[in-house]
Amino acid sequence: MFWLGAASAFWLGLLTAISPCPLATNIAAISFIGRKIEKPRQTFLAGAAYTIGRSLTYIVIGAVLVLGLTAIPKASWFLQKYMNQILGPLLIIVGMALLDLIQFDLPALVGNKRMEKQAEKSGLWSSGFLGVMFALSFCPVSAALFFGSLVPLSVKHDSFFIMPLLYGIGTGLPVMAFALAIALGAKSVAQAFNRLSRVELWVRRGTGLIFIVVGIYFCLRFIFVLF
Amino acid sequence: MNGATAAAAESGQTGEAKPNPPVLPNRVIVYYFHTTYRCPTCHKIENYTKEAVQAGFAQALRDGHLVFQVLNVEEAPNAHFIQDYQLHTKSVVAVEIKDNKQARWKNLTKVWELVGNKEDFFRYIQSEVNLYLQGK
Repeated sequence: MFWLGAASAFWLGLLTAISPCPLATNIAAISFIGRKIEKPRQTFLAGAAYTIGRSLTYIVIGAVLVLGLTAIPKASWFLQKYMNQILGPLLIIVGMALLDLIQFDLPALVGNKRMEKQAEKSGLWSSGFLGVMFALSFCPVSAALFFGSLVPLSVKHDSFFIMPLLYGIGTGLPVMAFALAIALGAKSVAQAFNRLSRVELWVRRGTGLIFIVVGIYFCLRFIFVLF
Repeated sequence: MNGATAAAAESGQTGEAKPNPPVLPNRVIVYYFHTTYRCPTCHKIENYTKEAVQAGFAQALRDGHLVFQVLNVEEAPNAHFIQDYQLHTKSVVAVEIKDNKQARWKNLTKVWELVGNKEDFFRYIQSEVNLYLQGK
């Protein structure tokens, strides 16, 4: 029975990922994780860091609920309302950094070759951070499936680590797979035309643009409530 | 929530067809609770629920044994429903009223898992509502 519950937790994560509601953040995550087209290994690790970030977030929220530190409706409505408001400006700032419009001391974002090792490391941290932020920004579908289905499933099976972990993997895996596929595809095309570093530069700029567009969408929708 | 509150809520925003049926002391209410921000999936759940109820229980809707209501929980008079039914997002809730008092309620949380399959969604809503209408 536990395995059935575990499979359900993973399935709920997949359902969350493929629903239209987190589409905007998924597109941003795919472009961010898959932007290092020269290094598929880095894309894989960034995807894994993103997925771990999401899983850890769900484990922590689950623990907070189980310990009774807050009630489910309170946590759910709070995260749905305020995290989406924070996300808009944050995405715009990251997008501007990716476009070199503002400077941060984050080598992974700007791709400083001299600090390659450090860049790889901080690239993983930023992917993990993105996973945490996107997981916290609950939309109606993720709130319904996490608070309404996953939490009761965890209670039923008395599993407050494995179930949220599998749910998080389910939400992150499609993003990771798409990022890898796109990065590998872009690399093959770029190699065929012998323009790898040029294509990577444009991919990074495209990622920055996507972040700014998604950020503006979040600001208009959740801060200014224009639609 | 007591019967008076339920009756007061029923006089608010409604998805019911006109003319309004009488408010019976024994009835089942199917609520769709939403917020000001409406997502595409949320609209779909509202429409499917309305269709499922109308297709399965047209007579009960006409004679007042069944009421379908759409309420925004971000409007002050409806905010109490969040605590009353432990809502964590947009939700479909079935409530049985006996002698104008709330007897029981159920949050139909599976709507989010079944929204991708209209037939399964209809079957789920209709079977749950049917149990409430039969008092089971």
